[in-house]
Amino acid sequence: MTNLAFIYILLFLISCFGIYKYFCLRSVYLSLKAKENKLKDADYVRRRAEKILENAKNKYEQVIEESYKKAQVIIKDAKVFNDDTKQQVLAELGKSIQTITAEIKQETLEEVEVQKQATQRLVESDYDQVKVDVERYKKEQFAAIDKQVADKVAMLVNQITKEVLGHGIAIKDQEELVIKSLENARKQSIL
Amino acid sequence: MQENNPFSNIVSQIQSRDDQNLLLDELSALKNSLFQIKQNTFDQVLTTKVRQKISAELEKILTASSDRAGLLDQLTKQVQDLKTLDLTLSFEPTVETRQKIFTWVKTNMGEGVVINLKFDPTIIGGAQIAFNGKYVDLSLKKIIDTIKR
Repeated sequence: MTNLAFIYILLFLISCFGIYKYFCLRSVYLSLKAKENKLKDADYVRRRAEKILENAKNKYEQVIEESYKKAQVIIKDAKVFNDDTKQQVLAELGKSIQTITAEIKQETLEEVEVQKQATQRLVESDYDQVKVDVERYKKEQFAAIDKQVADKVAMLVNQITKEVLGHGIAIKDQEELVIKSLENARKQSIL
Repeated sequence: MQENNPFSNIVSQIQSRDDQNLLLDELSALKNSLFQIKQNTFDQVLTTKVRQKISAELEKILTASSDRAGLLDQLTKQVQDLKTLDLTLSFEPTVETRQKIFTWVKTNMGEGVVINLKFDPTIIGGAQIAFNGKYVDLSLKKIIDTIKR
């Protein structure tokens, strides 16, 4: 009866220990989840930056286009130029505008690309580092928890085994074990 | 051994460390009584302070001798020189168990060994044995711990 009560108490203690460990693991999980959300935020910032750059590029192109059209109107309306000159100037202006637009477009694209890559690298390196840290932290925590659980369980099993066996062996068997021990000691030349 | 040793019948009655200490106390009381001025003190001590079995054996040996003190010294030395077998058990042995252990020791190790029994329930079963400066742990606790490792 005492043994049974002892075993129940030990099982109860093991259960309590298990619940405690569950809450520990849950807090670790929530902390990891918070870190993951932060990473998601970083990704959002990167996409936002790309969009802003894209918008800037489009606006730039629009401004150049409008400027070109206005220049065309001004030149057409000018009275100091004859038609040939007007046509020549417009053609030259068109070419120059096209070249400038292409250059600006190229530069903007390059800038966007550089910015995009830099942001990407920053996010990736941060993400990779955080991933490594999280993995290491997870491993450490799980190893520590595993060790604690293993130690605790081994200790409890040991106690139960000793308690149950100690009370369970009949005197006659105990006597036999003692005589066998003496015989073993004799074989080992202790006696 | 019994033929050469006049005290063999007394020494063979010692089973445990307690027996050994009790006999040494009795011998000491007898030795002291030899130097008392009062007459018959030795006989009085022999009958009142020494166990009957021992006093009967001692009477046979000492009455025939003029050197009682010398004989008592010899016997005291023999008792002191007995080898001790330290035996730790997981349970408090009954008289029957003690007898079984003593019989085993006498049969396998001969005369002149005193058993010093100790009790430690944490060893679960078996015994921890120490003799002549050597020690071996043959308890169940040790076996369980070894299996676990």
